[in-house]
Amino acid sequence: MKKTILFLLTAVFSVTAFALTPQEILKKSDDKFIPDIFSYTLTIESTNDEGKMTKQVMDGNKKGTGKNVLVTKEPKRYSGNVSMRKGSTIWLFFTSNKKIMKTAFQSLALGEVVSYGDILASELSFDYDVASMDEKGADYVFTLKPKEGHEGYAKLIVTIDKASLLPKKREYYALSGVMLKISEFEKFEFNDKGKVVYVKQKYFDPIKNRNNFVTIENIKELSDVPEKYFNESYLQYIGAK
Amino acid sequence: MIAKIALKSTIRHKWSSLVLLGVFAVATFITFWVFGFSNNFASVISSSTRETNGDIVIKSEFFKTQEVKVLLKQLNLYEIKYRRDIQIMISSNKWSGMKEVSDFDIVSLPKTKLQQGKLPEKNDEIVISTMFFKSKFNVGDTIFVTTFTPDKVINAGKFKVSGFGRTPGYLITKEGMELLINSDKYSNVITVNLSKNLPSRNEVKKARKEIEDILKLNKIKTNYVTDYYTEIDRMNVFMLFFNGLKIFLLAILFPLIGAVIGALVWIGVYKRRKEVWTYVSMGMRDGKVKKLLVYEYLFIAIGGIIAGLAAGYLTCYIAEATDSWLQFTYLMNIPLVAKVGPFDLLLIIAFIIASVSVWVRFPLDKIIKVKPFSY
Repeated sequence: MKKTILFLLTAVFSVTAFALTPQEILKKSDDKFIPDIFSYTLTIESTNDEGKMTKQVMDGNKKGTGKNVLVTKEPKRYSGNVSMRKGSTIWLFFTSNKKIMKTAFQSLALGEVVSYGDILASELSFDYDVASMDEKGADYVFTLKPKEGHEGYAKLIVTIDKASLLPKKREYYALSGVMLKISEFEKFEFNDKGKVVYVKQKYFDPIKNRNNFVTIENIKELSDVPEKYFNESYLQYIGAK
Repeated sequence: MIAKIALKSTIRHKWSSLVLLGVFAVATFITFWVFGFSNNFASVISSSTRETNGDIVIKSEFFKTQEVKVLLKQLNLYEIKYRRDIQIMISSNKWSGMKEVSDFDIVSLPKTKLQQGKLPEKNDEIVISTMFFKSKFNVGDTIFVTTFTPDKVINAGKFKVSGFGRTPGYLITKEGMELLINSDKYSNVITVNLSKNLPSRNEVKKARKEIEDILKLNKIKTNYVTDYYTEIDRMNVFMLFFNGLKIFLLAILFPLIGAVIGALVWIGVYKRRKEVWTYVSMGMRDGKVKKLLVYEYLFIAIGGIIAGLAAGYLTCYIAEATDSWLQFTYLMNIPLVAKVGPFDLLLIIAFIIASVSVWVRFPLDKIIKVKPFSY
């Protein structure tokens, strides 16, 4: 009898210990998708009204939550431009006028659909709280709201695969209920250790009826990224490098 | 009598007269556009007036309007207005980008002349400012606007373009702004009038300091503060620059025109030397011969001025009618308009006449003083 009670207590304790909260599941998904400290190459491709394809290539470094920096490599005329997220602020540096300025999260990166916030603020658990979580077949469906004091979309509906905890789809909404964009994760590639090394994402803006394709590749985990990379006064030197 | 002879002579030597007329016309046309565009540029930049921005303007982060009203009440200011100026992202098929939109109290705006359409009346109407950029939109176009609320959450709304023109910024109604920022409690711009009539510089300076101190004490971060006299001083710098530009142009053109006129007059009078010597041989005094020829060139100059001004006004009309703009920097376009006032017109005319009077004399003296029929 005692053994039975002990066994039952252990089982209950084990189950409750391993049952994650929705916020924890979201955090785990972020960790699965994006390493804590890493370097990467980000490419944004879009097609304009005349059918001409434009491509931007940027080298990025991320350090922990809330610190991310991107240096433009292509096209050549924007080479050396830097965009950096530090906490709740996004900084931009332009080589054309050597100016450093703050910008809003929803400012469009030069790809027209994707904003700076979309590419620099990629860890949702840092900026959003889970308002609700549903299970639909093999997926979790989260409804997220921005944390107090954090800039963000009024609502995000995020679909995550239960088995892999990798994101499948994100829907971005304004406060008025207007859907601003949808992003679908089209492809993941993994290395021998099962870590993500390549991501392809499609962003669609239903208002402008336009697509952007964002690719994150050459993902390499690092032990550290110099703190000076996240100092706005240093941005002009990062661009020069 | 001499004038009549001079006029007949001008017509008789029509080809050389036409060439000179062309020179004067071009000089008038250039000065017309340089003066006119400088004036237009200055007027575009000096867009803030007391009627629009009051004696003092403070732009800050969002604050609770009611709280600041209570704080500033102690200063007993004549008039305080609160509004919102926010950064918006415009999305449409025609153009996308960041702009600033305000909810000006439409009634207090100076008589705003729109190029097309009307000021916003409904909550989903917006006026496009063409102060620095040509409108990419037409009246009736739909645009999507996204912005951040004071709670830092993205909101979006659909707006219809009700008009466009040289307004202080993109404009929506007060209610439209409250829907967009999802609040009627916050403002971020304060405009203050200290009295009905223009206060003194010291009064404005004192009041500005008091307001800034109160806001600082209550941890309201100001982004931009200016006042009427600071703007006037700034405009004076620009006016000084543009007036300097005009004088510089005249200083450059004077010897240039002189060289051209001198050369053409020399050629013309050389060809007509026998005619000139005939006048001298017939007993006409040197002074009278010179007067006759100067009158000729003055008539040509007047004709050139009329032609140059006509061309200037015509091109200005065409530029306005076709809504032409000049790219000044990558950030700014200026409408291609020449605004020439009566003083500028007098200056242009006086300049051309002075050029004739001065530069024509040298070649004339040369020919007249030589022994008649010596070559």
